[in-house]
Parts: sequence; structure tokens; C-alpha cells
Amino acid sequence: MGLEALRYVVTDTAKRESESDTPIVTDSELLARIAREDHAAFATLLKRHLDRVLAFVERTTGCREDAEEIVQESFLRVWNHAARWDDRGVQFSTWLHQVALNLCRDRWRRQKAPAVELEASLPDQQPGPESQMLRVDQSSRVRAALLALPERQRVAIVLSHYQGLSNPETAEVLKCSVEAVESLLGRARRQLRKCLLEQVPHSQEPQ
Amino acid sequence: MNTENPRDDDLSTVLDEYRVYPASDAFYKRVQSSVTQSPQVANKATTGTVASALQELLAAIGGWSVTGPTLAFSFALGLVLNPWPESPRVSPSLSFDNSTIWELALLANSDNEDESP
Repeated sequence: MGLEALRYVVTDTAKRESESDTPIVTDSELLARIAREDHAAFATLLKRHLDRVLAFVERTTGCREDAEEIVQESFLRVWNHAARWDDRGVQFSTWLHQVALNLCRDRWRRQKAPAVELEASLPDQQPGPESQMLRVDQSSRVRAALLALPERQRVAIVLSHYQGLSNPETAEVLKCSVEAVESLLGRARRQLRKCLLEQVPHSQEPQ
Repeated sequence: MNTENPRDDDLSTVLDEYRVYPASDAFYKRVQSSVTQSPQVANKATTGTVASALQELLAAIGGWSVTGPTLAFSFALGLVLNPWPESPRVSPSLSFDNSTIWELALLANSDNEDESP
């Protein structure tokens, strides 16, 4: 599990939510209020899920601009379809990931291939320039390795590792069986290991 | 969940290096405002207000399970008892027709004045 990555997003989301005075209510209750055009409920739901779904889409598409457009459209769908929300069987966050993934696929169909951007986007938390350069390099490598994966493997690893979804939840988003998710994750990890861990850096190559 | 071996721990550490920025406040506000500015939302707002008002009214008086039988019973009762009998054909009261009589009288007077030399 990508605890470090998950903690980063969850901490920021919790900070955002604690800033508001809205009492803790379930997603279903918020959706019922959104169905009655309650903007405050929408703001609370947005604060709760925005960072998480944005991180998912950004890692899946590899492009921040695309991710922001997709996430904006996803939340617009939440607003428009809140009245039809039925919480039996599936969690709201799982459904939101499904909506975002469908919008990603629409975009890929239009573009024919996922956007690949190798420019790194890192939070400014590194101590020095050298360390920062190494981290930017490492981040770019991971992003490139993720984008090189087939779509379903990439989505599976992002949902499982970064989003912290369980295998049944990942299967729900990908609309496949849990066994298929395990297979996708296994293949994705093997490929990533090959790209990221078994690759010998140029500086350490024998001359 | 998949069983993780030490090799996967190594991989997880490397994967964690790929971090992304949280949403900016500007983006958060943009998403919020897009909801109010969308044409779909404007359409929903006009139709939704009336529909939701009716739904709330229906819910307040007990929902269809109460309202449906009540309306049906009221309709049937109306058909059987006919509480609105035909209005009686009576001549208008004198008080109602007073003004007309006075107007006729005045007209009659004016006719007489015209005829006088």
C-alpha cells in the first residue's frame, strides 16, 4: 500500500474538512441534500473527495490539466445525478472513481492514447536542490513507468497502491472479478519492478 | 489484498516517490462555481424547484400511500353525495337591482326633460 502517498492526500483533505464547521455526515446524507440543491452539502462533499479523486486521475492520465478538467466534469455529474443516487451495494467514493475513469476513457478515445508528460509535479518539501533533483528524477521515472503500463494494469495499480482501495473495490471500479484484479496487479507489479528496480542506473554501469 | 513480499515493499517505496499536488483553492472554487453556472444546472434549477416543492409537499402530507386513497375517497364521495346542487333559478333581489332601477328612473326623467318645450 502506498501509505506515504495516501497519508499525504488524506492529511490535506482532513485539514480542508476541519476548516469548515459542517458536522460529520455520511456521503449518502450529503447526496440527499445535494438533490435538493443544497450548495453547502456539495461544498462539503467536494472538500471530502476532491484531493483524492484528483490524485487518482492525475496518476492515471499523467497530466494535471486533463485531470482537473475530468475531475470538474465528474463533480458536475455528481451534482446532476445526486437525486438518482442509491447507496445500496456501492460506496460513493467507488462510484466517483468509476465516473472519473469513464471520463478518462472518453478522453483517451478522443486522443487515441493517454497523454504522456514527463515533466514532474512534486510538492515543494525537499530539503536541498540535489535531493530535489533526485526526487524529481525518481518521480518522472515512476510516472513514465506507470504510463507505459496497459490501461487496466495502470488503473489497477493506482487504485490499489495510491488510492488504497481493496481488491473488491478495485474490481467494482474496473467492472471485473477480484481474480482478474489480482492478475492485473501481479502483472503490473512485475512490469514496474522490471522498469524501476531491476534497471541499473547509468552511473553504476561497469565501464 | 495481495500478499506482499519484501520485493513489493521495495517497489512500494519507489512508487511512493510519485507524489501529486493536492487541489488548489482556485481549482476548488472553480469546481464549485461550475456547478452553479452550468446550463444543465440552470435547467435542473427551473424544473427541479417545482418538482422538489411538490415532492416535499407530498412527503409532508404523508406520501402517496396516504394521499392516493384520500383523493380517491374524496372523489367517490363527491360523485355520490353531489355537494354542489344546481343553483336555484330565482330572480335577483331588489337590493341587488336597486342601482338599475334608479338608473332607469333617471333615464326616464331625462327623456321627459328632452320632450319638454
